[in-house]
Amino acid sequence: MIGYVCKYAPVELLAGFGQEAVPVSSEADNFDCAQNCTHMNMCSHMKALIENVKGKNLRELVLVNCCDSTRRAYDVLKRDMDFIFLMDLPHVQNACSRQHLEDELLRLAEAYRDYSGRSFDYQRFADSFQFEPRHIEGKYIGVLGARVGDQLLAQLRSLVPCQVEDFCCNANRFLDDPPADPKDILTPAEKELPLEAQDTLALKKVLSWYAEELMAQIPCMRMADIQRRKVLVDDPNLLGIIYHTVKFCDFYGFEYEMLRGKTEIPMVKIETDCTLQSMGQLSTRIGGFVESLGMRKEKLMRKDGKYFAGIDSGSTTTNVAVIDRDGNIVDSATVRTGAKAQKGAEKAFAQLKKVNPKDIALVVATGYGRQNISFANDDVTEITCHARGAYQLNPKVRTIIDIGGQDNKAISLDENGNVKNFAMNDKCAAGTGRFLENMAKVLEIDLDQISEIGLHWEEDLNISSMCTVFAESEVVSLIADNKQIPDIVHGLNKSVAAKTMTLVRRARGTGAYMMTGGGARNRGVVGCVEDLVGEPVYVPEDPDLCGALGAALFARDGALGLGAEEADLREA
Amino acid sequence: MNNSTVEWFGRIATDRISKSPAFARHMLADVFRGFGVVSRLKKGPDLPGRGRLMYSCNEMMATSLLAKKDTVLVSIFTPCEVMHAMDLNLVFPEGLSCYMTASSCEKIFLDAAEANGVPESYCSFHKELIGIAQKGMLPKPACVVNTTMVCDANQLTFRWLAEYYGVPHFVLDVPQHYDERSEAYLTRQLRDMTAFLEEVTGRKLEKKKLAEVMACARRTLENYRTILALKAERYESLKMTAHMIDSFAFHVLLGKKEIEEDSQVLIRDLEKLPKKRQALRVLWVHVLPYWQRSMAEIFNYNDRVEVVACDMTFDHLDNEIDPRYPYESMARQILTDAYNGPADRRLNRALRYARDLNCDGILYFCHWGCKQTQGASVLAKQKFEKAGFPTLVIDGDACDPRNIQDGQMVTRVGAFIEQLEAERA
Ligand code: SF4
Ligand code: SF4
Ligand code: SF4
Repeated sequence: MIGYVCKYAPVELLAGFGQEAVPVSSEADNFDCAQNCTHMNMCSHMKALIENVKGKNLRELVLVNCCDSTRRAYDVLKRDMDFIFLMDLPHVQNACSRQHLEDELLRLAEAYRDYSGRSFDYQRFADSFQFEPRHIEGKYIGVLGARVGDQLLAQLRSLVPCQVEDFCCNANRFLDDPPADPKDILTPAEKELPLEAQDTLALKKVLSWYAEELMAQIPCMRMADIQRRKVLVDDPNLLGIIYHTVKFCDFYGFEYEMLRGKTEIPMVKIETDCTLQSMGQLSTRIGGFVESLGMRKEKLMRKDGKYFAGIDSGSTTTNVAVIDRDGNIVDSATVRTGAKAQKGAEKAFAQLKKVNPKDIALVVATGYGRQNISFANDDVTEITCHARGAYQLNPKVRTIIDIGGQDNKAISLDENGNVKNFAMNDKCAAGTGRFLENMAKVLEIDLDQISEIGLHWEEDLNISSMCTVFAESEVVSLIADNKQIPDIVHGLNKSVAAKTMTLVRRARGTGAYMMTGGGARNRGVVGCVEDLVGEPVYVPEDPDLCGALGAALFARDGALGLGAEEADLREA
Repeated sequence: MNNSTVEWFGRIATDRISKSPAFARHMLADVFRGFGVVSRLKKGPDLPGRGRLMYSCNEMMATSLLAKKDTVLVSIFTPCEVMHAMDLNLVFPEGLSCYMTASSCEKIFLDAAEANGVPESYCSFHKELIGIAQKGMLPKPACVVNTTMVCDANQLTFRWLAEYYGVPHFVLDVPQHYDERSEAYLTRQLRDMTAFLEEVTGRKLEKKKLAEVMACARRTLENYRTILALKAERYESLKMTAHMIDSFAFHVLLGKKEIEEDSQVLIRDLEKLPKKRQALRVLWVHVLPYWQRSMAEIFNYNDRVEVVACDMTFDHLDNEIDPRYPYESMARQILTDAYNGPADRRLNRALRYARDLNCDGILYFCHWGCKQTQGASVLAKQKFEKAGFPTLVIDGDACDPRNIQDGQMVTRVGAFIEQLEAERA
């Protein structure tokens, strides 16, 4: 068994030697081995490869000179393998580069022959070309970008209620069939040559044909000319794109940006690090995306009762909003979530003062814990709920900036309040509520103080590090330099605002703006955001309740037997 | 300029860049020029040869900012002898990033690039460069030429730039290993590159001129070998920037008469220094954070510790250029470069020079986003230490102050120097 990772790997050539090549495409549990033999900032895909090779004790590997990370993975793996080969893959496509690839194929064939003692058999080679042309019926969602691991793909398929097609870098492997007999490739004149010469020439020409076939695949981003990638997005049946980037891989981020400017097809970006994903953020992103495409499955049933409740089960707090048929908030509660979403939701319900839970007809849950609340009738992502709630509170709003405990989001809305676009922070905590909480600890002040104190600054300090850990040491040295606390806090507020603005830009947000979440209570941060957007930002009376309100509105729609799309009670 | 002046200047420049890029370009060009003239004429702590090299590089950077006809945008490892022989203007944007950071106005560019979706984990030289273009600080070139050698960032940034300006793009696809076939493949491409340049600029390459440039390049590299040999026995009081300047001058500007002359002056300067190696001697692997105040305080003009050389200046000294075969020579020059091919090649080269230059230890600098360097860091430490060189692997950023932990770096470098001192004693 010989492992490979890239669609340009000459799998069929190895089959000609009677060797089965298997794709190494599963995620890693952790990066323990990789951490010991290389740097943590190598692309996660290659770190996962190192884990897979070591964990599964793979002894043979064929790599392609794809990128810096692959080259270095080769360097660190090569000492402990029985056979490892790094094939040079040209970046450009022309007659010379084809010749170069042909030379490389030959070099690999020789190396493998010498290592294995086997010889090449044309029939085995030809038989291994088993390509089924991709056949897609009907509408589908395409996954593009850097390769996705097996489990991530399975997760995506479980989250999307329609066909999901994998078009990632290594998933478009497709080659034409080779000639049945190598000599079929010879010209009539060449067939006049002595038999032995014919054999040699035929094999050479087949190799050359094979090199050309490999290069004729849809180019990946690592190729110099990427024009032909257009076909990936040029399909009327393509409903939406899930664009995947890998942490510490630079290639695909560029394409995502390019596509964003060029295509009208709805797109959501997910970045993973090739470990088993925590489903939380992924399901919110994909869920929100699916909902924005109008693909939400209605699960609600008609029920009687006067009121409708939404529960927003966040990482820090759980909020409940209860509304009446006209969408007025009649009761609400906020509690700390604690360790379990279910417990938090029960606690919040118990704190309702004006409404008897028996009078609640339907409950919709949103937020991180939305799928773990047993008494909720349905769940909707916080993206869609925030949008719904915000539009109810102020229909002029086109962009919602939500600064939560662990997540920041920017959601842009169209004039009907539908989600147009959204962006969330990646795993890192920079710019989130957690970030300010940590800094408050360093500064030895509490969170309430931090939201006030930043307003009274005098010296305009900058905190340049985006990373929480680095920013902390910056703050420590500012304290050591005897800088004033309000000035430092103002610097932190600015950095939170700046970080948030990158999300706003990614979501292509425009005015009017609304801020929600715990961050909206921080007047210093709101002020810095206002400076950056150049206009006043609307902050609702209770900025934590927006998501729960949206969920409650969905509950009301459901109870009235209306799908999310048709519900036009919003104007009522 | 001292640090506070630089910061003050950076603020002014940043303000101008956001208001009027054209004005800011001229202003920065004047400053680079002026600074070059000062370092050439004024007697400072640096050797006269260093001042001249600085002047030559600054002149080039200044020209980069001013829109000129027939300008080619090249990456640092692109062989530029053909361009020099055709008298084309070169812009070498990685260098421009360095200069912008040195002028303390990097932030506006880095922010612009990130706001436009350049990945955060991207090499900051290239991130800054994209920002420089987006902010209108890089005049539109006639075309873009780059190699695929060394790192992915080359590929991505230069393709992006060619698209951004809508100009023709030529890619030299560099094979990983060196054999006759690879040489033939690259030689053909280099000839095609000449044809491409002729077509884009309408100029003709004269064979004789190319042979002259190649001969000059050959002599210049010979001079550089001499410079390193002299440095092997001497202490030179210098600042970190000098090594970056060397890597620019002896790559992109290789084949230029000025650089040959500058290198001769430097040889004469070095010959005058006493044969004595009093300071601790460090070999630096990869780029240097010359902008970082704390690092500059440790390494600049310090008679306790000296950065003797940086591996970005001796990556290409193993090959002899033969002016009669310019294309084959250039191809070999690239294919045998220490930065091409497997990590071992680069590490072995560094090790050889560490020995030849009588170094006490090796500092391996993992620049933010540079996977090719980071990825080999564990191998490097093992290899160097096994060969008897204490080695410090350190994470930092030669361009972007936002990616570093200054305090930790100072502690680690300090401890490393103490370790070297203890070993010497
Ligand atoms: S990016 Fe291209 S070369 Fe790299 S693994 Fe994917 S298909 Fe292969
Ligand atoms: S994910 Fe990106 S960096 Fe990693 S192997 Fe693939 S192309 Fe290279
Ligand atoms: S620092 Fe590394 S990634 Fe950046 S340009 Fe240099 S070699 Fe490339």
